Amino acid sequence: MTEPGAVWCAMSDIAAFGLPGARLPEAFAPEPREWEALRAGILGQRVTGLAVASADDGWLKLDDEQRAELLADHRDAMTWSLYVEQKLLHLADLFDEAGIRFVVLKGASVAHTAYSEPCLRSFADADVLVRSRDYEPACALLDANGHIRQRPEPRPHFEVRFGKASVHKDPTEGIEVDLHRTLVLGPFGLWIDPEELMARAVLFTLGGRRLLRLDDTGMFANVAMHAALGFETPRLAPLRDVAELATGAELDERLLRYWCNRWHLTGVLRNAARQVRERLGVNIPRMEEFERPTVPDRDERLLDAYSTRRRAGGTAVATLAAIPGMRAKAAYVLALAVPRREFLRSRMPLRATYAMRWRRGLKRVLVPVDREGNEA
Amino acid sequence: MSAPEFRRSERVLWRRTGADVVVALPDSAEVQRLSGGASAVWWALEEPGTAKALVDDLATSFGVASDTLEPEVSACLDELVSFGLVERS
Repeated sequence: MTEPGAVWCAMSDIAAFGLPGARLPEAFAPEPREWEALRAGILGQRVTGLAVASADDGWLKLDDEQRAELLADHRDAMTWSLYVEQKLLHLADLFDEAGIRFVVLKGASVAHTAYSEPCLRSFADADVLVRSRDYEPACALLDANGHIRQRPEPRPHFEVRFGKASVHKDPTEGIEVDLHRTLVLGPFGLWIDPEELMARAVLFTLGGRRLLRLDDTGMFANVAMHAALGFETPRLAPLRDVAELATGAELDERLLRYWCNRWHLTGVLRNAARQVRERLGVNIPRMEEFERPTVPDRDERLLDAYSTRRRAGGTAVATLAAIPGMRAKAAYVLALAVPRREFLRSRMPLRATYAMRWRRGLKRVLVPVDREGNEA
Repeated sequence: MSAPEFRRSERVLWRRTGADVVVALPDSAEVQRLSGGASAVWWALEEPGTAKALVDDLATSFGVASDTLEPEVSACLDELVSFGLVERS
């Protein structure tokens, strides 16, 4: 097995810096080419604040030019975070006037509550969660206020029935609004009850205004789902979020176990805990509990859809497992098999034909299996 | 009559960026950067205080006489108030 390189190790140490239980980072003075790679990694993984803290601590030994570049990157990231916060406050005006209840997810809510300082956590867009019955009115409200939906639905009402979120952007601002009706794509997003999470929401202060966020236990479930399911390869900032809440928040562990049973989250929390331990190199006693339970085989296969089979449309097929009733499953399959042309063009701009889409779709569904019925 | 007190406006959105601070109000068009003396005054306003208390605090931190700093700190406070970043009561 190839040993991870110095840059890879430094990225882990940056992402884990300051966490209780983190290993003592090895001093690292990057050579020019290493700095180029490290800087790109810091920017890509959105950990500029933690990198600045690491440089201030002294284990990350940057020369004057490198430090100036890092500070400039961090200033840019923080400036953008402030623009996103302005956006959230503007959304609060719109939604409050329309009577649409919303909760701020991830980003700003995590930065201001889970971290010792918000400058340690940058974010690039505004994530908000609304109730399913408010989802389409909220989309219409954003549309009426100059926002352009970045991708059409396959068919009308698809997202409110089967989807996670839609992305809206005001072209004069460039800030994306991720309007959620649930927390993640696929079966785990359909199994959870977002309104139960919203009912437990608490207030936090932003720009002198009180906004709603998920309570600590709900926030922990959200960041764990995001870390474990949001990406084919886990990203460092969401893993840090998980670790911050696991070490510093008031978590209702009985409620988490209840949610694990009802919402099939045992494997999700296990994967999040494992990735925090392996990727950040942090041993958190509370997280060890999440790695112990056995995960049902079916949930293991569904988890696999979010990682190794993600690019092959794994989540699209896996979603069927969480859709109740044959009619609803049929509606889901029909919408994806015969979507509106504008959706087709948005996904396959060069060769937007139904025949091409069906050929690709069949490859995802017709998975070869061996004699035991396991995927070959 | 007691001296006016200065405090950071709770409407301010801000982040620490090294020794500097980036700030914005909810409806401001641009994000501003406070550096040097302005960022020092911002940090000194972690707790509300009178101008004299802030000057004395900063003079101690920088190892200079208060009357040397007083004009600059007062001018800085006036500017921060005019931008709506700091409130005077």
